Amino acid sequence: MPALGVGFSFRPAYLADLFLRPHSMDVLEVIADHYLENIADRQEQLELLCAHYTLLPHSLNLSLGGADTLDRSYVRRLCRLVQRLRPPWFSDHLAFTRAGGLELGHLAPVPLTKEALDVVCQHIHEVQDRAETLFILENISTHVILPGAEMTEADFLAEVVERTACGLLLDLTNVYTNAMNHGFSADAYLQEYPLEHTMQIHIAGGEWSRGTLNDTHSAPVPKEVWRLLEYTLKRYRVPAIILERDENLPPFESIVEETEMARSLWGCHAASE
Amino acid sequence: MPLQNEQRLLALLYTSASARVEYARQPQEFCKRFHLSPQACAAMAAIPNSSIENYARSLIAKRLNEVTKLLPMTAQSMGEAFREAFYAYSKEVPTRGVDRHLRDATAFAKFLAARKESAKAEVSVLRLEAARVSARGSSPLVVCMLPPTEWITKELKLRKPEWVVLAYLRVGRYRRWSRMVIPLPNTSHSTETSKSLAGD
Ligand SMILES: [Fe+2]
Repeated sequence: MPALGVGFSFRPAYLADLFLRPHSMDVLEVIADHYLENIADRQEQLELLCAHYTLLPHSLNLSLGGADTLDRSYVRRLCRLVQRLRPPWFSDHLAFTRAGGLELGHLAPVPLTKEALDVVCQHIHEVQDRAETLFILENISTHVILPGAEMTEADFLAEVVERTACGLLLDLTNVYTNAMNHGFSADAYLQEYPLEHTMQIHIAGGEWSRGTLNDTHSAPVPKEVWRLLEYTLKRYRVPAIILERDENLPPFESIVEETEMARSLWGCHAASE
Repeated sequence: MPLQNEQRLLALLYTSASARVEYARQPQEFCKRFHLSPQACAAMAAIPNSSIENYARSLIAKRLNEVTKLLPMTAQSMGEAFREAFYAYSKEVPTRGVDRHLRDATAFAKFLAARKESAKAEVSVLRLEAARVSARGSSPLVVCMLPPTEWITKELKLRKPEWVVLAYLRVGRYRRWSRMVIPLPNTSHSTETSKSLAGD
């Protein structure tokens, strides 16, 4: 798989700045859900981005870990988008976002059981076959630890990769957030994690509230996550790193600084290979 | 399908405050409604209520954040009351669809409009912002009537305060919008086509 480099998760607010400094990003992630509807401005924006960058579509609502059937209309529109952009891969989360007709509006964890594993694999097969493009699965941060786990998350992900030939998106901030909130070692998690199947890394910064770290993508990447990035890259040179920032949007300069920092770590490791 | 039943129960707990209260009061009875086995019920009981509450709160905070971005002037004019009203509204109303934030903002605007305590100035701000949000959704035509407040006069760049009918009309394959501002009584008529609603 080609090394794509470092970029950020595109936000429309940065469009003008991005084209003033087009070489500041090697690759962009786009939130697929924003481009599923036929809205002229958004489609034109997507065409513009696509003409200049490799775009990595990232969707939020596949609900791959949901025991209910996939939303056919959503899958159809997502796959159409993927085929149009022809990315090296596209991604969504190890999560469920709806059940019994209720939409959560966010990602909820799935139990680490064999039953859930079957569901996730079946859904990834469906989506990946339809899109005819490599799919990669992202780990989430969670407030709730579901009971009845039959395996670790790393084993669960490794098994999904084994059965579906999908890839992985390692969100280091989610690992760090879970480690902080649930009291485990992020390093130990990463030692178990099937890094060799990781196509992309996410880094971001969250916020503490009432003693809980929230994955809000609203702050600079904390130093602990930079350390985890370095630790990960030393072990495996992941093809792409994406900085996520959704809230408290800083000047574009700050986004560039953080991606440059990631690029220097990424480049360091390339040189040592 | 234990997973399906468990997820349906969890989805309800995550999105409904009254379901959480009921579950806390009678967990066994609640689980039975979702056809969970006694073992599954016992396993569910191992999830601390506080972590479900935390997650439910984070879902609402996320929605509030998006809705505030879509109704910024309403939020500003109402201050803390906006936040409180959103918590009251979102307790039992879940979100839906890819454009869920637009739907949420529209539904919340309706919720606010139905509350008598909104001041006149807030109503005009609310109506205008609600129309803008609806125009970004899927309806082909959005119409609203706006009172002659100072804010509306400035915002719509009217020459003088007057009642106006504001209409957004979708034209073409893509969603391109025409915005019409029709003053009442009908002294003049202006139409403008907006390529983007972003700056509207
Ligand atoms: Fe992420």
